[in-house]
Amino acid sequence: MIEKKPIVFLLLATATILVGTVITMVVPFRWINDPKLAIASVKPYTPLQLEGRDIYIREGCNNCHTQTVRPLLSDVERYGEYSKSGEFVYDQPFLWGSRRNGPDLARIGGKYPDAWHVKHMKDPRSMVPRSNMPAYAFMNQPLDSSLSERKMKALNFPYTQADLDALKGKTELDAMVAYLQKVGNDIPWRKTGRAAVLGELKNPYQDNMSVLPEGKKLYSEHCAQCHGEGLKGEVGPDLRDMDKPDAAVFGIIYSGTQAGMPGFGDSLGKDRTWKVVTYIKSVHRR
Amino acid sequence: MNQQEGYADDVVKGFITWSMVWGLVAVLVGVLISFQIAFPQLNLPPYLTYGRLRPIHTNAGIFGWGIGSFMAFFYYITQRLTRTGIWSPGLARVQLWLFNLAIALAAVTLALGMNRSKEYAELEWPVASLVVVVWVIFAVNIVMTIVKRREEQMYISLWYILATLVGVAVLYLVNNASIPVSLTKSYSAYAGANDANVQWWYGHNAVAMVLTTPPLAIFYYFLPKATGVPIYSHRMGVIAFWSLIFMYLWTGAHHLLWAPVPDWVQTLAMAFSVMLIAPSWAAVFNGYFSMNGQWHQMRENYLVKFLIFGITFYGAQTLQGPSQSIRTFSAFIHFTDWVPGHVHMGTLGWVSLVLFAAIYYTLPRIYGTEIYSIRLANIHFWLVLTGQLMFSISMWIAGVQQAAMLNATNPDGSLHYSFMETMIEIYPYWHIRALGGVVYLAGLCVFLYNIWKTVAGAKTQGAAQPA
Amino acid sequence: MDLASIYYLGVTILLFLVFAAIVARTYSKKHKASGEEPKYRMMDDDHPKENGKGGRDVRRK
Repeated sequence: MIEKKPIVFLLLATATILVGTVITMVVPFRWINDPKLAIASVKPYTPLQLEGRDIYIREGCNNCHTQTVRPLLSDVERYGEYSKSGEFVYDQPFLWGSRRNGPDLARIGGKYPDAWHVKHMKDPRSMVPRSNMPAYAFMNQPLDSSLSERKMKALNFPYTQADLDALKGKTELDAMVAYLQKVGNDIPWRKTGRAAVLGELKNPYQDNMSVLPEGKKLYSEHCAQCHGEGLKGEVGPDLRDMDKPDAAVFGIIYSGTQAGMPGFGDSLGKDRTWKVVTYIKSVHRR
Repeated sequence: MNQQEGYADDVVKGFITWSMVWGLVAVLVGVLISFQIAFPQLNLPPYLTYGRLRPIHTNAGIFGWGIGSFMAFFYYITQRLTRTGIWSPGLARVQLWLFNLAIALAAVTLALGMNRSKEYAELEWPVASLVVVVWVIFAVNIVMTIVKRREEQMYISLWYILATLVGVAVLYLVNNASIPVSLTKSYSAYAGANDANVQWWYGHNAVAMVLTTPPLAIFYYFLPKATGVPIYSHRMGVIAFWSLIFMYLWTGAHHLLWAPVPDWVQTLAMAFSVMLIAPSWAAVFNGYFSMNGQWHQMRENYLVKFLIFGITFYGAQTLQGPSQSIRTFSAFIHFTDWVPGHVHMGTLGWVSLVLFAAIYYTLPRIYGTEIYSIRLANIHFWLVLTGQLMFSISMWIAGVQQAAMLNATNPDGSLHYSFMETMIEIYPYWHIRALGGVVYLAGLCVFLYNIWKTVAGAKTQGAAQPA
Repeated sequence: MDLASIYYLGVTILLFLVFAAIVARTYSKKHKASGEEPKYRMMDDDHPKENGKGGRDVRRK
């Protein structure tokens, strides 16, 4: 029998291995990336974005950052709309990752302004104090675009000569930022999915000087990276002499703005957001 | 000289030696990146960052240490179970140097950032092609040796060896399909969710065909050899063999639970993962029942200690793994440190303990000598055991803690912690893990010293008494 | 039950029967001696040239 016939045995073992392989790996090609699941607004990468993606791969960013938001409360509330298979049809390879040493990046596109990413890539801890991400200041070197056209052809992505010409003079950091700003931003989830602020918007700490120290501490932990120490403005605008009403300031901090400021509601919560509002409103130009 | 007549064991020596070199590299890089995670200033861009070093760690571990020593023991075991010399010792020698070339190239290209990004299939296509050549030479040599054997029936180890040869070939070829752009850059032939499904079919079955079937072949051979008592049930091994290689291939998508691949693929993976407990534990019981009346050897025979602890970690691993494959539990611990804790119980606890035993058993025999120090072997055992438990247990706790914080909500339903707030709580565990890695490294150094003294002793002995 | 479910059920039963057949064969009385033989023969395999030792050499006498 087979325990005496190695070649027959080899064939039988192969057949055994192939059953599960065919059913769970080959057959799903019929369903995954089905045209019915395609999303019209999802576009291929531009040459600059593709170069950025290749740098992301080169540096092994996928070893610490995932790119898939699961349809679970803790994922959707934290990162945004859950991932759909139609969003990844141009991803060769996929970059979903397997471990979140850092946060998920599936919805990073449009979350921060470009300047935030530049500062953060060069010196992560200047933006996120206790981050353990390596500093990528060396990416401030000229982008090697010698393979760009061949890459676009290999993947069948549309491009123009102008796209290729635009690569001249770009740095690797430019490409990286261009890529990050595209990730997960092809579907209009920000417009539809932002957390609405419910309830009456009245500052519980209005004129309450005792919360100012805590507000100031929260400001330097969460806001100073972009708005600067002393609220003088840097990536974001100068916040001294803020004249918007408390409720409006609360809304901006809690939910973010279209202009590029991310929402902090998920990390600060309502109570601490109000303390930051109170602190900001207390600071004036002298 | 001391070589047993008719068996080509020089190449076995070569593979064992080089697998230990790559094993040391894997652990050194592993310790380095465990410190980098805890102390980011230790990243030295561009070449020595966590992102570039982690694939070197996994590749050196799985392919250098793992596959390298599997090649050694497949040659050692196959010759003996077939009572035949290697079909072509010359080809085996070529294979040894191509193998070393492939691993060295892998380390260099990965440090340079030439990386396909697919886990455990990171090597760019020229290096991957070299790996294929190595594997074809290996497979042909082993299969031909078995074909011309002088022993009618194949012992269960040979079954696992043959399954490994064909399984790895299928997995590697399919998942490495690429569209080359240049010598150092290629893109996966599959896109998006398809690519993910192919990758984790590969990824999980690398666990099956590299980290399960080869150590099982080695365990089934060396346990009886070490104890002097036959394995409890050969037929139970046979049933477990067919069930194992049938069911493993269905389970890849348990790495993709809640991801945008079809639900039915995820559900099948979940079900088969749970069913895999049966064949996995058949091997565990086969090991334990073989010890009936022999448990005193746990105290007297250091080889048995390594082997039985190894199969025990395999048992724990194959209960923990299926539990993580359940959707609800996966939702909680997936993407956290729990998973590296799980993986390292398998690699450090199960695979490496069995390999250590096999090396301790084999090397003195093929060098015609005795082990240099059993006491050092015991110290080695306790150090690597302690290091591994520090790693796994700290990571399990870290994983559960971070998962709990990530899921914590305020009374109004909003999330209580930002990602960073959960992450900074993990730093102390990362310190413990790095320390565990250092302890493990110390154990490995004791092991290498012991082996070095054994081999050096054999050589002076041989020189003193020319045959 | 739709057609697909019946088909899946059929495949499941078929696979189960294959498994049952393997178990039945492996654990049959007839097969017992030969099924367990390799585990004894592997215990002494250090001497490839001495055919007489460690049991019969069936292939190449």
